[in-house]
Amino acid sequence: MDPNLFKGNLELILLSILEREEMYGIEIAKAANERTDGYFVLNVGSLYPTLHKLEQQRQVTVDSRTTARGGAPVRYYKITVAGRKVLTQKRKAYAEFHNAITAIGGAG
Amino acid sequence: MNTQLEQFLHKATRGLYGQDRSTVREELRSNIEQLMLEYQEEGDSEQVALARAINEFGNPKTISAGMARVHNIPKIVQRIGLMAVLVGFFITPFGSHHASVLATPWLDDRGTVKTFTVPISGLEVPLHRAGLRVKNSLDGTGLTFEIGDEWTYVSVFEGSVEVHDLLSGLCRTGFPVGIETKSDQVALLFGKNRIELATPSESTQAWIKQRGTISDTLITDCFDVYLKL
Repeated sequence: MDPNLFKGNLELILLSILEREEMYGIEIAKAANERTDGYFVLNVGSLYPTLHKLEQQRQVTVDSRTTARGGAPVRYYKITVAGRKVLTQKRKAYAEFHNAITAIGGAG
Repeated sequence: MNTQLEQFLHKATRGLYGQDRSTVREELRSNIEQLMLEYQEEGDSEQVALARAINEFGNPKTISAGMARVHNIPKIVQRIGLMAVLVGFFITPFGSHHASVLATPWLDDRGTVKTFTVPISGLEVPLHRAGLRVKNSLDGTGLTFEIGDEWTYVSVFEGSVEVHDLLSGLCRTGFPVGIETKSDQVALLFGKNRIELATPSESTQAWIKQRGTISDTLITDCFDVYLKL
């Protein structure tokens, strides 16, 4: 996996994962790995700055509570209406870019 | 208190202050704890589980650098912006500045607004006056708005800038920015400046009607410009 491609699309990846359900940081990293059959191996620590950025931009909200496993409360991230709009826009932009690359002859 | 964990948290939150630091610290601590519990369920000892969990989080310096970009820089820009506005307020005791940049939104055959660009020549002086350094990019395709060590970039085409891009760029500097519309008039509010952007016309009226739901008051969330304008 090209790390630059990954970095450039991290917000899209995180919002896509949170689209289905709210999660905390570790869960998000695991979901990315499991849903892509191991293609995305996220460095867990690198997720948090981007999650906080999304929170500042009100694309996600945070709810602190304990997990079923117990322990101290964790911050669960939940996508907002604005976040879903951004996700739609980012998906569209990504699809357009992919189509353009394919049209150039970069695929197949 | 576990020394290894505390050292990691200290490094990962270095450069953060106050509430931001404690929020990040507790989030990392609780997530590491969750991983530890999971590894312990798999049979690891507490010590091994902690070492594995911390290892999963990677380099703490990467976390602290990322968090500083998210939490510290916007505050620094906001503070500089506020100071600049206050300075502007005290050195302009006779009220706000007014300037005009004549432009006309361009409509297609169906009356839909296609573009609304304003010439940068009329913007530079009032923006300078507000405390913003405005520079042309070397290749002439853009402007940078600079304040302190921070800057934002706005695309320019044939000497003009899209109103949408202009507002986004100004907003990202941390300055108070807004837009005011009345009948067939559009004005940019920027610090103590009020800059008339459009020639009163039918196309200006059309732009006002089609521009969406963005508030006439100052924009506090730059993302609103992107979503609504």
